[in-house]
Amino acid sequence: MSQTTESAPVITRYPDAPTPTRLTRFNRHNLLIQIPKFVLMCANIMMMVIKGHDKD
Amino acid sequence: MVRVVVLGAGVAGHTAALHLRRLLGTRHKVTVVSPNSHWNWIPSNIWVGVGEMTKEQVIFPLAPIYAKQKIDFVQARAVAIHPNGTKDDPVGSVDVVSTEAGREGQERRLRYDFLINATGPKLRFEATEGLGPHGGHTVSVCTADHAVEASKQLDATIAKLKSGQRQILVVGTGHGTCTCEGAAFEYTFNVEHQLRQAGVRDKAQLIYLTNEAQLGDFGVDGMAFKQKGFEQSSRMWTESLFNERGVHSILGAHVSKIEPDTIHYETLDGKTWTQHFDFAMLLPPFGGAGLKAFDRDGSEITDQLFAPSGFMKVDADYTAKPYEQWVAADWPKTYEVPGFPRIFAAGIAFAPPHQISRPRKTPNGTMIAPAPPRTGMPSGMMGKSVAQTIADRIKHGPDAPAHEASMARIGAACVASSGTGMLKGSAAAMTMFPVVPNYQKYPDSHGRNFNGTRGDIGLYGHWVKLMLHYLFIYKAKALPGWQFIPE
Repeated sequence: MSQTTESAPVITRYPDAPTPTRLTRFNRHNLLIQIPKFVLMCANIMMMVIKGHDKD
Repeated sequence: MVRVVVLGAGVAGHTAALHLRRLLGTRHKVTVVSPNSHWNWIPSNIWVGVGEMTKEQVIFPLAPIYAKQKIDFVQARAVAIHPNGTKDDPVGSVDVVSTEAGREGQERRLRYDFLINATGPKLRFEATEGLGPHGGHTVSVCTADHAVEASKQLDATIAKLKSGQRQILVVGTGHGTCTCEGAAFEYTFNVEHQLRQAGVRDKAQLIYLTNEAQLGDFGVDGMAFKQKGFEQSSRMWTESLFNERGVHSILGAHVSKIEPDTIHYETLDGKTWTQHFDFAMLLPPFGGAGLKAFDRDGSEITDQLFAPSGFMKVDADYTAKPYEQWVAADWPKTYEVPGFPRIFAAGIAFAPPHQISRPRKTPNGTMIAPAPPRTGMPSGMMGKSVAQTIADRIKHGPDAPAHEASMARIGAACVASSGTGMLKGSAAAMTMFPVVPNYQKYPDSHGRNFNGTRGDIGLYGHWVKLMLHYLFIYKAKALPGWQFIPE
């Protein structure tokens, strides 16, 4: 579901999409949360590199 | 002495060349042929395109690196392959035309025992009238020079906004069959960040124009994530981001023509539209590098090695079949060219067996089908895998088993980052594992492993992108310990 202008199919808003709360937006820059996430993403990338060469 | 020739010095070709030299020592000859004198970390061109980095920060000259590594470097464009040799010489060879200053146009023939085609894409701006920076009306971030020009035009647009003029900025794909929607998505949010930083966001309409049928497709049929006990989709996540930042979108679009301030496009319902713009960065569709192939008698055999798109046919299943019947096993594993056991194709140069995202046609017959991305991390892994196969066959004979790097098994990270510094940036970070959904292996999680497929927004994604920038450039420069940095 989306809203479009009348003149062209330009979607200006997605009404069904969730809006982040103030806490979510704050947490996106909270170092105490971001540092562990950084470590986890690096580990995730390494896991993909290692397992990517596995054979089925 | 065995001669290995690598065509192309992008992520796949350069990675392959460095690993070949490491694995083979200096007893064998490794030659890289590239029309470019510099290596370019293309993902960071996005930052050059908004003025956050300089061109010099994303490129470096290849010749000193290859000299140090004892790899022969030929600055030239490959134009023809003779896989079975020529009338006078049974050894395989490649015809190249020099692009080096002072030697432009000079032709050479390079003999090889093993050949890696890693030529990357031809940027097909000509596919859409008026597209691109070379005589067209839009900018691009596909090369560092393009990105510099994009940055200048963006600055001019921001200056007009500051003077009170409203402006429309369009970022996206310039044809229905483009790939790399992730790059267009990333550039969109970098532009949005620049507009906010300049204090002119309220005066600008920013539109993401894409061939994707829905947001979050990214040319890989979207992704499903597991977060906080729920399944979420890349579509929902992306739509939320577009709402939050006030970015508008045009979906399922094939751009047919671009005039100085107007984009003409067709949508999936077959209707045609126009969109006015003041600034537009639209990516071109990719094609093969345009290599020809000839048999010993001089007859052309290009169709034996290359698909009509110009990409090289490898060990994939190219049988035409409906979308519903496509399986992960169709995708190549070893990148050997069938019938030509000494030729490999890696990175963008290989012909994908089919799209990953569902291809669609408008009622007018126009194909709107995002092409599969095969850049960055998967390209590097393919390059290394092919280098390992060739090294094993040189050391242990032609029956040595090939190493594998199927895109249906390997993952990729896509980080759309904006801003600078360690504390001011932000990024939408996604990982998908594997790139090509494998519904046989992961039937209950949309073809991908939930443990590796994630999406999130935050400062940490920006750190990941910065880390990848510095690590990959360090690795590409073959500085001490480069081989321990994974592809």
